[in-house]
Amino acid sequence: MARMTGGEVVVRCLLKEGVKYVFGVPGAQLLPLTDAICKNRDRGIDFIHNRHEQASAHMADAWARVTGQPGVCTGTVGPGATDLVPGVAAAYVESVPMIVLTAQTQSWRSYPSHGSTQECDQLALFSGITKWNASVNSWDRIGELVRQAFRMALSGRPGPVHLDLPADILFQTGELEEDAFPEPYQYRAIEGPAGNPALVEKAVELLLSARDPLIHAGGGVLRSGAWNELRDLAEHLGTPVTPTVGARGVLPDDHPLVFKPSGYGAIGAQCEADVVLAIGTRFGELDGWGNPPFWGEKGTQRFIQVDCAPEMIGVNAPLEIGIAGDARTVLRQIMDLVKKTAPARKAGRLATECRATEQAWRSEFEDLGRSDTEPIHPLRLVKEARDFFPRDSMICVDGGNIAVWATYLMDVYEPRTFLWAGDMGHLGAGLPYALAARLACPEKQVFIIHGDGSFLFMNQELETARRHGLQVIDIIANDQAYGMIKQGQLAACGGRVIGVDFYDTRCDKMAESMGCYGERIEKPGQIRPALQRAVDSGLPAVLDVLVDKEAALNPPDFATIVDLWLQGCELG
Amino acid sequence: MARLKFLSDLYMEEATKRTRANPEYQEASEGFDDTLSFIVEPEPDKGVTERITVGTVLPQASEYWLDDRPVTFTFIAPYSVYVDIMTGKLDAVRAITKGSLKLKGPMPKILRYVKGTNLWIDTLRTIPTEFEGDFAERSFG
Repeated sequence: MARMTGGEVVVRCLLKEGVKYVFGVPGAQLLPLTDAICKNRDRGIDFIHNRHEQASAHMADAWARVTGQPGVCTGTVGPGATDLVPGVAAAYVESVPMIVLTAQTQSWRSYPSHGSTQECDQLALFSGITKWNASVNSWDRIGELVRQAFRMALSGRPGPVHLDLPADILFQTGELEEDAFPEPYQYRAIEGPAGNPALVEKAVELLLSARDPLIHAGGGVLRSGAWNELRDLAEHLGTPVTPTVGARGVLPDDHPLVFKPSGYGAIGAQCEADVVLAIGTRFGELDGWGNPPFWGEKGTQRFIQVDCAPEMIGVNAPLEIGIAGDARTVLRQIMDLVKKTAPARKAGRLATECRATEQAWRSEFEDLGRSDTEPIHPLRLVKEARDFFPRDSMICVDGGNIAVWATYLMDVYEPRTFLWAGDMGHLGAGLPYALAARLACPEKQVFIIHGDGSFLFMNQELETARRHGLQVIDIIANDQAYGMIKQGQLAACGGRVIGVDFYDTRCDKMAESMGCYGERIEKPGQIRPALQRAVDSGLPAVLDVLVDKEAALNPPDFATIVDLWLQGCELG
Repeated sequence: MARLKFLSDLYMEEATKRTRANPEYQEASEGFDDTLSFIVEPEPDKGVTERITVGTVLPQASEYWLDDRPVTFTFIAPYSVYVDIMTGKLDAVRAITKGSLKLKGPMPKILRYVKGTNLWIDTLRTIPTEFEGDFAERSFG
C-alpha cells in the first residue's frame, strides 16, 4: 500500500502504458502531475517542456505517428488548455492517438463556473476535436478514467482523447495497492479486430478476378503497422500501390509498384484499375473523394474498402464490399487466402504502363531539381536536401507551396519517417514534429522543409531543441510571403494582394540567438556544404534559404489543389 | 489569314497542316499514335446550338473527320470549356484533372504525353479562330 497524490496516480497509469514523455508547459494546478513525473524519472518517464502548448500537442502527435504509441501532452487550466487546441485538432483529423491532460479549477467551483480566474469549459472546448473526453470527478476514479482514455484513443479509428483534471483531485492523496495498476492487455485490446471472413473471401475472389487490380493504402496502414503485410500482398499479386498523402513511406517511393500520391502515375492507375482494394483510407478530399477525374467512372470500377472504423465504411466512394477491421489483421486474412489460391504474379500491365507515365511526369521536376538559377529554385532546395540526408532520415514538411513542391522530389523510403499535418494543413507543426521524431529515433537524422511563414508560427521551439540537445536541421524556403495564399489572390483577385507579404526576417539569426546554428544561403552551390556544416555543428540548425519568389508561387499542381478546395466557389 | 470557325472543316484542315509541320510537337508526342475525338456540347443559352464532333489521329494528323467514329480517346466538354482552353484561360491537362474536360479512354497514356498535349494546344492557338454565339468576342488571331 502506497500513499500518493492524484498526480502520482496518473503517472503510475502512464508508466504502465510505457509512456516515456509528457509534453507540456507546467502550471500551478498541474503541480502534482509534473512533480510526480519528476519523482518517477528513474522509472523511465520525463517531462519535455515547450515554449507554447501548441508545440506540446504537436510533439505528442508526432510521437504517436513515429512510435505507434499514444503521445501524451498537458496544459494547465484556461490558457494552457486553449493553447493545446490547434495541435490536438491536427491530430484528430488524421486519426492520431493522443492523451490530452488538462488541469481544471477545483471540482467544487467548475462546471458550472463560479468565476475563477482562467477557468474555462474545457470539456466543451475539446469535445469537437477528440474522440472522447471526461472530467475526472473523483480521486478514486483516476485510474479507471486514464485506462478508459487509452482504451478509447487506440480502439476503432484512433484519435486524441481528453481528460480534464480538477486541481483538488490532483492534489488529493490516498492509498493504493500495486494491483491497482493492471497491465494494458488486462484492460484493453492489443490486437485490432479481424474482418468478417465471408466478406474477406468475397474480396479475395474479386481481387483475383480483376483485370487491373490496385491497392490504395491510407494512413490506417501506418497506424496499424501493416506495411510488411501490404508489401507481401502487392508483390504477390504484382499490383500497383497508391499510398495516400497520409501514408507516404508505407512502402518506399522507389519501389517498382509504388506511385506517389497525386502523381500522374498514381492518377493513371487509379483511373484505370477495375478493382481497388482501399485499406485504411476514407477517400477524403486529397483523395478526390474516390470520384472521377482522380478515379474511374462510376460503374466501371469496383471498390473494396477495409477500415478499422465501421462508421467510415462507404462514406465517400460507393463500394462493392466493405470490411470493418484492422488493416494488418485483414491484410493477413486476405494474404492467407490469396496464397492458397493464386500463385505469385509479375507486375501487371497497369504497373508497367503507369511507371512510364510517372517517369514522364517526374522528369520535368528532376530538371528543375538540377536548376542552377539564382535565386534558388524551390525544387533545387528540395532535391539537395533529399539527396544529402540518408534514406532512413525523418522528414518533416511544414508550409503551403513548399509542401507542394516537396511532394515531387522529397522521396520517402521507410514507414513512419514522413511527418506532415497535411489534412489540417497546419502551419507551425514542422519543428515540434521534428523534435518528437528526434526523441523517438535518436539514431536518425531529422530535417524539416519549411516555408518561412510556417517557420515563424512556432520558431520559439528552437530553444526547446537546444535545451534538450535535439539536433534537427530546419531548412527554410524563404520567399518572404504566405506564398500559397498570395498566388491564390493573384489568380482570383485581378492581381490584388493583401496580408501576404513579410519583412525580410533573418531566421538564421533567430536560431543563433537561441544557441542554435544558423546560416543564410543565397546560391544553389552553397546548399550542400551548408547542410554539412549544419550537421557538423552538432546543434539544432536553421538554414535560411532565399528562394526564387516568383517560382515559389507556382507549384504545378497549385491550381488543381485550389480546384479541390474551392469546388463550387467562384469569386464574383 | 482570315479567322476560321472553330472546329469547322477548314479549321481542321489548317490544324492538320500545322500539326504535321510542328517538329517540336512531333518529337514530344513520339509513340502516342492514337485516335481521338472531341465532342463539343452545345450551350443554347450562350448561342451555341449545335453539338460538334471532330476526330483525328495524333501526332501524325494523317486524317481528320467530322463525325462519330470509334476512337481510343474521347474528350467531352461544353463549348465554353474548349474556348477557355483555346484562349489560355484553362490549361488542358488541368481541365482533365479538374473534371471539366471529361475523358473516356486510358488516362495513363494521356498523362504520359502532357508535354505533347500542351504543344499541340499551342499549335492550334496559332490558327486565327472564330468562336460562336456569346463567345464571338473571344475570337483571336
